[in-house]
Amino acid sequence: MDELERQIRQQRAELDTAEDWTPDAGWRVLEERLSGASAYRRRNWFRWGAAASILLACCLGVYFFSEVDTEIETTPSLVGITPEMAAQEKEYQQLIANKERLLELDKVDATSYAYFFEELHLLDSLQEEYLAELPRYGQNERLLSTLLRYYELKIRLLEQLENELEKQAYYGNSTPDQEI
Amino acid sequence: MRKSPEDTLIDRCLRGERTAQRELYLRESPGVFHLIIRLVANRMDAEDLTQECFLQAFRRLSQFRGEAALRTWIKRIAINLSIAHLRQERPLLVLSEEMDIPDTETTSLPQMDMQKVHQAIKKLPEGCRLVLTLYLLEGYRHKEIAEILGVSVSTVKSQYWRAKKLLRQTLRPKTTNHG
Repeated sequence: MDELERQIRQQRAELDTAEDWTPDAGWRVLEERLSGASAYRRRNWFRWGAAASILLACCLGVYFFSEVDTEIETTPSLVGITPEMAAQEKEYQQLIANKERLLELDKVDATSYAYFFEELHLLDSLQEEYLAELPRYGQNERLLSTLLRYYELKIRLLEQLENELEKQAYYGNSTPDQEI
Repeated sequence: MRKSPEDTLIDRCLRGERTAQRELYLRESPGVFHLIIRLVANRMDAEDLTQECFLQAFRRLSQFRGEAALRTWIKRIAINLSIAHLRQERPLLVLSEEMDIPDTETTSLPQMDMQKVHQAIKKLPEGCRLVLTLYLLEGYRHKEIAEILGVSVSTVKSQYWRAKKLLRQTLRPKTTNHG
């Protein structure tokens, strides 16, 4: 250590008083900024909370719809045969899936609504037959239209069942047969 | 185990107690301000950076692990802010690799006025100012300074020798030739 270093180190503390510095005045300015920063942080927390809620809602939505899509994916579709009809088919499939979810078919009394269940069963078996024919007659327009017609019929049938269930809920324990 | 007064002060600051934050500011801001003004050599910038430093320190206090003293931790924030500020204005060009001859002057100096030393440090070239402040006044090692500034250790040493030479020239009493 040379003379310059020795003197500076010995009187180091004096170097921190060389300039005019009034900590009180500085604190007043900083205190205002700190209060502003706290308010900003609170607002930020609120914003993050709101954003998280929206994100959660979106995730639930995506989960819900992806679940529907998963069910649809398991059923054979017209994607590889005719894209236009495949889009229509997808719409129908989603409608049916939503209706079935809403009606909770497994909880509906099958005896009281036997007519609907028989019709639904018949449509399902017809669809199975048509789908079996698809690889061979894929481009057959009549066959494709019939397949889409199946979906339309099923939707109409489910809507009728929904009406009947609403009526039952409104009028009490009377079955469709009793009403007729 | 009993907590030290500094730990208690930190806890109070973490709880958002304004009186504790004020106490810490009043205690540390003179040192921080003088460190910053020696680094940036501009009063207005130094005032702004001092405020910014304490704002960051209070916000990040929960990250303080106590590996160093609180003063060292706050001063490190000040150093980082000052260097970022200088880099924002222009690259630290003065920190190029240039080897000065080691300053080996051992002639005695008369008692120095620290006010003059402070002003002389502020007038040093940027690289010399940074290195001298960090090494001689803040106690950082050459290797640490090299890491902070992103230069080689030899550059740091070279800048330090140069800083001392320039400082000595400025502070040496002027001799007049009567010839």
